[in-house]
Amino acid sequence: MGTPTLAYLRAVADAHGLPWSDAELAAAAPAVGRTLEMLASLDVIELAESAEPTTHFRIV
Amino acid sequence: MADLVWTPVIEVARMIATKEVSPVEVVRAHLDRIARLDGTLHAFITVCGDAALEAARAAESAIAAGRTLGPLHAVPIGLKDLVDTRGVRTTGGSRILADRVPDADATVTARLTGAGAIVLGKLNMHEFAYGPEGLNDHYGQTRNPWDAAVARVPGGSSSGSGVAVAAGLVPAALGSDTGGSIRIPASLCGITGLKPTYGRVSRAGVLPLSWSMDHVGPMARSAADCAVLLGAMAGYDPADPTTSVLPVPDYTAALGRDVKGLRVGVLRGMFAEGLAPGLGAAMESAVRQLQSLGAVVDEVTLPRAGDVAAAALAVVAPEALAYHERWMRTRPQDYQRDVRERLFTGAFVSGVSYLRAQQIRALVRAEVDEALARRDVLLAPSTPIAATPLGERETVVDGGRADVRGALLRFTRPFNFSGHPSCSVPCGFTAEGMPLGMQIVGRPFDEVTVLRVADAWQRATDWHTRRPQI
Repeated sequence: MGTPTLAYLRAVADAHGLPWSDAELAAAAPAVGRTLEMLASLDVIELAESAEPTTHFRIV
Repeated sequence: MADLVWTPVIEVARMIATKEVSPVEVVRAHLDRIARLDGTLHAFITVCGDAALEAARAAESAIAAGRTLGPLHAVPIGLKDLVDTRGVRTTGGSRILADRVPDADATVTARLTGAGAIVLGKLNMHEFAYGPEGLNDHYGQTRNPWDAAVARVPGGSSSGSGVAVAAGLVPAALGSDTGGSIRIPASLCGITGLKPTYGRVSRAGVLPLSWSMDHVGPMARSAADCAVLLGAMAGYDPADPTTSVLPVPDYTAALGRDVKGLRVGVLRGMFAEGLAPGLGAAMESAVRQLQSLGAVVDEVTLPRAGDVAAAALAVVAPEALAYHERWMRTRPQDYQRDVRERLFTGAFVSGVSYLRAQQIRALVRAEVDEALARRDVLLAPSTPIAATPLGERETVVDGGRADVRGALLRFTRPFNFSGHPSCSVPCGFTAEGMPLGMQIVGRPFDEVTVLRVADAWQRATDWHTRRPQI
């Protein structure tokens, strides 16, 4: 997947209202790259169509 | 009384109740040790010396008048600095909340002080609980007490809690655990830490990292002491809608019992791979010991556990960013770098990924439930590695390089994801003298059995009685 581009990082930061400098965004690029790789791995996990997401956490 | 700082919670409470020792003596002994050692260890962010002594004098008067508050009467404790304390700053280990002084106690604070505990201070932590190493740029770097020569990570995020208990600065402390933040420092510091079932202990008044993964629990030098603290703070809380209405059992009833006939599933697969030298042998020895105590042991795997790292990331990162986004917009420079970057990654998780992760979560929980359907507890290492030198981002295990952060979280995070209770207990040491820990995982709301096994293990071994040379 590689390291995300500065333009991509800037677009996402802007969408969240994060006024970060180019240097701050560039420093975060490796962490974002690793995150994107991990997120991509979720897409190849076999899930039954009936798999309900956990939406409540209190067991009793 | 030099040994007072190493006296267990249960014994301190008994000695105070029978007037063998005064609350003021107990509090002073711990404050003296904090004054002597914390300049090096940096376990505390705030020490409440005057208030603790005042509370000790009040406790002494109460005993003289024949009154006691409860099972923790005058027992000193420390609180991770994300647990609200009325009138005492609660920083989350951050610069952003450096001057935040809550006007109310967290529910757990109120319950523990209501049971008589005296808060000695607020404990250091990985900034905003977002890291397993226990790093903090703002309040001094907490240092693992087990190595005087090499500065090593204490484990986090409840780093100050782990170090303060291990070094005899407090007999017990509270931690919080989102991916292992009670059990990781417990493992790396050679103490006992219990992450209860999700919903067993209130999180009201505790700064959140990830609402659906956060747990609050006790850290002490034995399972017996953890049982006493858990009993004082567990139970339904209308201020926390995720708490359970199930009655709170007497956790001390779990103590002193044997494990004959209990079924123990030893986790294999991922949980037996990439272990630090000596850890595999320590685990095998623990299994033999439990068998010799009468436990019935078999092996079990959790194939879905391998999916947890990615799925938990997709849950924790956006939940954390949702809480922090206001400060990430206005004060990003006030975060330490690793936390700022980790929070930023939450912006890259789509709603679809979040829900896909929650689908996986349901399957992981079902898989752990299934493993426990025919067993009483599961057994695994708490962390695959022991404390690494500060600043080391990679370490060598099984001849290959491993990311320290990922390794620290690998074995604990599945049980945050599933919500099952898990207790880390000391189980040995590396050749370099660093503690090793194993976790005992139980059925939802069956902390009694988890504590029963942990206590039986500790009555048969002495790993938890070893002390760092400081």
